[in-house]
Amino acid sequence: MTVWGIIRKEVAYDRAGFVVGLLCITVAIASLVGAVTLLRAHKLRTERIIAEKEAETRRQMERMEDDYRLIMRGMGYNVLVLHEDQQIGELRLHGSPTTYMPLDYVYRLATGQIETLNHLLPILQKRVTWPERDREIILCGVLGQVPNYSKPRHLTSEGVYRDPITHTIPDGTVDLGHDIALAEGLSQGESLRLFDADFTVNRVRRRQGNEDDMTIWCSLEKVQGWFGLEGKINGILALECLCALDAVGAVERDVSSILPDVQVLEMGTRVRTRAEARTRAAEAHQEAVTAELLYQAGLRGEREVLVRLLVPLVMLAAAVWIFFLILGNVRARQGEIAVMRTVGVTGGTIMFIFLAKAALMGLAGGGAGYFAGLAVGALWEGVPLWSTDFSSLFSAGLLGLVLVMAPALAVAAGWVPSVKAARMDPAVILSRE
Amino acid sequence: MTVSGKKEARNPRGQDDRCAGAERSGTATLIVDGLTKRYAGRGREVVALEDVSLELEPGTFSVLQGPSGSGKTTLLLSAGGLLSPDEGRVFVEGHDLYTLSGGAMAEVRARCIGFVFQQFHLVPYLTVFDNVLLPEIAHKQRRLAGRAAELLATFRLDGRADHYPSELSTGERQRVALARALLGRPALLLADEPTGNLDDHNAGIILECLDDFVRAGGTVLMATHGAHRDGRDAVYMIEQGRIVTVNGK
Ligand SMILES: Nc1ncnc2c1ncn2[C@@H]1O[C@H](COP(=O)(O)OP(=O)(O)OP(=O)(O)O)[C@@H](O)[C@H]1O
Ligand SMILES: [Mg+2]
Repeated sequence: MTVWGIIRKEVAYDRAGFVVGLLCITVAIASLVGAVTLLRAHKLRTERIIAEKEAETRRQMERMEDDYRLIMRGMGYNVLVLHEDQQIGELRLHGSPTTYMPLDYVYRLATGQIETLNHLLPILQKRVTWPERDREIILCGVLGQVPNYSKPRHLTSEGVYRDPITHTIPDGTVDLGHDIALAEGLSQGESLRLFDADFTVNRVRRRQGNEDDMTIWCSLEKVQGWFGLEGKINGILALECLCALDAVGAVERDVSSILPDVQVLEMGTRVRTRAEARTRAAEAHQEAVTAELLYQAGLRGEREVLVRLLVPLVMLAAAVWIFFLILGNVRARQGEIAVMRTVGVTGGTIMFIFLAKAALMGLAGGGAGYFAGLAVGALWEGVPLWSTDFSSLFSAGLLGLVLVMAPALAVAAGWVPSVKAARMDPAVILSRE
Repeated sequence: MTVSGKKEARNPRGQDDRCAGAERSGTATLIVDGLTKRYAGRGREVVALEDVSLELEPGTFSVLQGPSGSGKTTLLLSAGGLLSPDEGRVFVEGHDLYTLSGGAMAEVRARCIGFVFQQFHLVPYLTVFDNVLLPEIAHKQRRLAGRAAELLATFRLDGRADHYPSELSTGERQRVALARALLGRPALLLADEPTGNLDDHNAGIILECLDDFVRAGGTVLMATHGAHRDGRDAVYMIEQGRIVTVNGK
């Protein structure tokens, strides 16, 4: 006969009493674990909602960027860098800039660490009469496109420019605007004379609905030579990059930090409007995320208050209940206590018997309470049992804590009755009958 | 520790006499010396024992007789180390009981003293066998199952080992209680009206068992209202807490 044997048999005998105590601890621990699980599940759900919203925002942004890139590629350049002295009225009147700047400017921009511009194209543009055909045209000399060297993504690993918007016009060829080609009956591969030189048509450009339709493009050197403007250009076309969407000012600041005597003219407002709309959409999404976060935080706050009030109350109630339960058990067992004392069992052993029983109650109730609380908390938050979400709510740490805490609670609650049992005077009990 | 050959032959606990104390004086199993016990009643103090002295030798059967309220139970509990007296000393197998620590006292109770009561105080959720074996938890050497089976056979209870107390007759219950008291091979058996609830037949069986214990070298002090004094070694008459006459053989 061992102490544990006595405990086991007593528990089996007074099964109801033990089960009531166990249930009591189960409820207390379940309320604690349930509350923790509820808060945890809520956090999980909030994180998921936020992640979804953020992913949606990201998708929107990416789509916007794609759109933007496509539109940009389709529409060409949207920024024109001009000499500071260039009157815009003059530009409009003549159909081309009338003030010149050194070709070197484009290289200074390309190597000037400018964040706001991509794809620089130096041009020398003049409104002239095509002598051979007696027709007003815009002649545009272009060099190959110059990448923004501060943006490595424009360069291949060999340092070659990766994705130009405009292609270089080969020597001895010209590109024709749509209307000119139509009016002169010229198409790709045909020959023409321009300023006493022979050219073949490299390409007829698509209809743009602007002065480009009346433009002939040829190499920059040729135009410079015809007009005695060696080393000069009168504009740099550029593509404003996405990050500068809401700030022409930013482009201007950037450019003038490198080239103090230029001005920036913006074109292509349609692109801009669309991009801005998308930016606003992204901002709205971000606001929605923030609002959701705030709402969920409020909800969590309310629940935390509830938990902070409810859980200690339930624990206290459980402790009181167990106190009386064990006290009742000690009273009911006092005959045995007295007999055990007469056969030489010490008070310490008597106390151990009752405390061990309490601890067992706590251990079993703690385990049961943990899983009950986990299930209730999860279901409350709408997490189905046996889902991966549910298993992610399981916490070995909390289970371990509960398995220590519940027996501790039961032992603490049973302490006074157990001491009372240990101090019971067998003589009083035995002489009473 | 010196144990005479004669004593050993009569030792009810066999060869492993763990009860003997180092400071034992003489051969008496129980010495009660000048015992006084007062109960603080409501306003009036009750003197349950007054200057009681007695000495019981091994292998003797003594009877404590007296009217109700005369102090019999009080004397037995004090002699067994369960009720600390106001004055006087109690020696069991040489141990000065009330100078011992709680643990040492418990050990003396486990090894040297057995109790039997009018109410049997059996543990309802333990079988007959487990009830008899109950004192084992107080023993360091936990090998008393064989002894328990032996006792059940001696008390003709071997067929009832797996039964619960509620399934036994009163006579059988008292025999279980007696077997339990004898499990640890005590030197001293304190019996408080062990036959009080029994008919003559069952009372006879219990008394026979006690006689056997005494014959094997044990010492019995039994409180009783009535008869059973024939052939006993000593009869102490107690009245109002005092021993008034002693009739020895
Ligand atoms: N705990 C107590 N408090 C106060 N008085 C007590 C207490 N226990 C016993 N007494 C008193 O002490 C006296 C002796 O009681 P005790 O139980 O020893 O008598 P007893 O001889 O065993 O009687 P009975 O034959 O009825 O069992 C009685 O007067 C009793 O009332
Ligand atoms: Mg009595």
